[in-house]
Amino acid sequence: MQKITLGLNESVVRHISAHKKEPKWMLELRLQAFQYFQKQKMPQWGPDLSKLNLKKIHYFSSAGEEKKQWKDVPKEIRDTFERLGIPEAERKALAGVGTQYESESVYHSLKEEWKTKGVIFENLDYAIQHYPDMVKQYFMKCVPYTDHYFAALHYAVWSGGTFIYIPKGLKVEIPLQAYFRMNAQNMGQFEHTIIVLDEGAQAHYVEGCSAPLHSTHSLHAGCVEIFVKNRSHCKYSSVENWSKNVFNLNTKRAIVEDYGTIEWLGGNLGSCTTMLYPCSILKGKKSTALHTGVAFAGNSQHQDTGAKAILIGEQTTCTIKSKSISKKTGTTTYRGDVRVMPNAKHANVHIVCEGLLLDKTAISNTIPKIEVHEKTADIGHEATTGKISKEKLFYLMSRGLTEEDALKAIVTGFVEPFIKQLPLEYAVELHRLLELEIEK
Amino acid sequence: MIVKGKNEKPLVIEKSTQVVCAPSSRAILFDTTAKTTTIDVKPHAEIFYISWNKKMKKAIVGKEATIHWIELCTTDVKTETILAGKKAHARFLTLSIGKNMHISVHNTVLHQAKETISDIIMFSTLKQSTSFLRGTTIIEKHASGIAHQNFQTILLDENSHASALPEMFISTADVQASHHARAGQIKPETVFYMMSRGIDETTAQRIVTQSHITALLHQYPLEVQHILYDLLQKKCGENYEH
Repeated sequence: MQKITLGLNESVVRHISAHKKEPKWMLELRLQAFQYFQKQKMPQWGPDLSKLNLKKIHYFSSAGEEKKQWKDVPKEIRDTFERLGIPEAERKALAGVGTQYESESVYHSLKEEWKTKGVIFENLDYAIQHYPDMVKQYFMKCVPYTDHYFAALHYAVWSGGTFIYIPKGLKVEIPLQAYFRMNAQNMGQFEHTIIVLDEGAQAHYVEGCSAPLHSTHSLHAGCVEIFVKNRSHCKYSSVENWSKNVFNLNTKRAIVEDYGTIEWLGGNLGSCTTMLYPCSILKGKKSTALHTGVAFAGNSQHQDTGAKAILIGEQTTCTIKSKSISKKTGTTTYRGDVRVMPNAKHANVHIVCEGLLLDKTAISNTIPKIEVHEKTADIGHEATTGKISKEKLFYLMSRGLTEEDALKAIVTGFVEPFIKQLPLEYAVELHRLLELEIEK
Repeated sequence: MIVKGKNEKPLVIEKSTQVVCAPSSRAILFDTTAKTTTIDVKPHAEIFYISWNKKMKKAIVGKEATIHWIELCTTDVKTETILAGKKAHARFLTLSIGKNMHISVHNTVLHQAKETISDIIMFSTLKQSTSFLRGTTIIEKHASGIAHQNFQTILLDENSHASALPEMFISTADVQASHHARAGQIKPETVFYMMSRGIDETTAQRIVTQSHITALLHQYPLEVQHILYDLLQKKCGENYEH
């Protein structure tokens, strides 16, 4: 297999496309995006990205090349796996060194069941080959490559990702998880996810992994496009815990039509710098968006997360709940952008941000931007930031907890409303991950 | 200009753009100039600074001193306050009653010392107007204190647009910081109720607006309140009547 050199040029883009045997329209889109990318400059706002060197990144590596050994995985990550109590086979898979694990057959049988009902749940590369018309109909229709610098980069070199289609009126009760696919084929760092819910459908998609994903790459620029049609309900959960040398610059966006609902659940723990603002475009009448996010920033991490909502339709509702915890020299930022467009009659927006600072060197920022162009809109925003009160700590300690345990209890209690909404196995793992982070 | 001792009558800043408030002084300052004013509030002083349509203002607040910024009917305002001394205190009140105008307000406060307090309150009603309200609170390392921002915008018609950006940058854990922003119309039920009692719609809206303003002004000493009500009537006229 041909090895791709460091950095990015047109031949790399062409190579990726040829390697995947993509149709011509996809190659053209990639090249357009690449040309646009070359004209753009790195964004100047937000966290410091000067350490990110785009010339020193492998933009593509196919699964065949990834023959790593378990002993090559950094000790830090191996320790975390062990303390989380993940079975060894899964650990290897998550670290990108294993080829299969026991539960694969379980996921496979689930897949068969969905298939008979008309659900498409495939790798996007596979979907392009097998459902080209459908992919073409939705690809790049929500996030254009002109959106920003990293979106252009993403479209030039994207690989891997998920394509989900839920047919009309079907309610998928079990959360669709991206675990099995990552296992089968080592996921790219520029994965592209498309989720389409046809009228009246309902689904819950869980992505990322709740255990640290070891990565030799230093940039993750994924993209998620969600299409919520009339009266459908989509829940998107992701727990992102990348290794501490990764820049996590993600783009997630959903277009919601009449009476549709989008729920975003996001947990951000790892990576050195995260910039992630899930966006909801509430286009339809009475459409709803619910954003819930938790961010944890430890040693010199910068979690720049938030939410974006554009309310266009009548009687649309948007609720944003954001919780952040910063420790040591960690920085958490809530960056919001909510726009109520003219004629979005009786739009209702409610934003709540809470920040928790664990020690004196921690940093917490809030930048909530609100724009209202409609008289009948009702907008409320509230935010609080503070430290853990000494009384609370003292009270818990007087009941026999050590200071560390008391601290853990308070922090996990703080994020409890978020954790509750996750599927059980993710909830347990996130809970333990948070405890681990506080211990460190 | 140098402010000394306790002044009962308001002092008018006419020419000078440098104001020094001596330790333990107390005064109501009335700014009519159009230039940038810099105010140095020495320890234990208490200053009420009243102005309108003023571009740029700066202040340094010393130990246990207080500055009250009061802006009325403003179109374009920018203030910068540094809380340099321990227990320094800054309160901002920006009232704008917009009719056919563009309001742009940016209040910045920098906490540099321990136990400092800042409170930014902005209230605006918009009729055929647009507003951009921005507050920036920065709490530096080794500082501590309480910071609060409160933005309220009432949209009175379809052609009004409001933007709010209450920012906070906090670099220490020893703080209590909070902000909240609201934007919307006056509750239609409230207006309807008043109309059912024989009050026309515009008057009903005005009464609600006035009650908001009264509640905000209530925190100031009586002499300051009188000045502010007078000023509101002069500057906003038909939009505001007490």
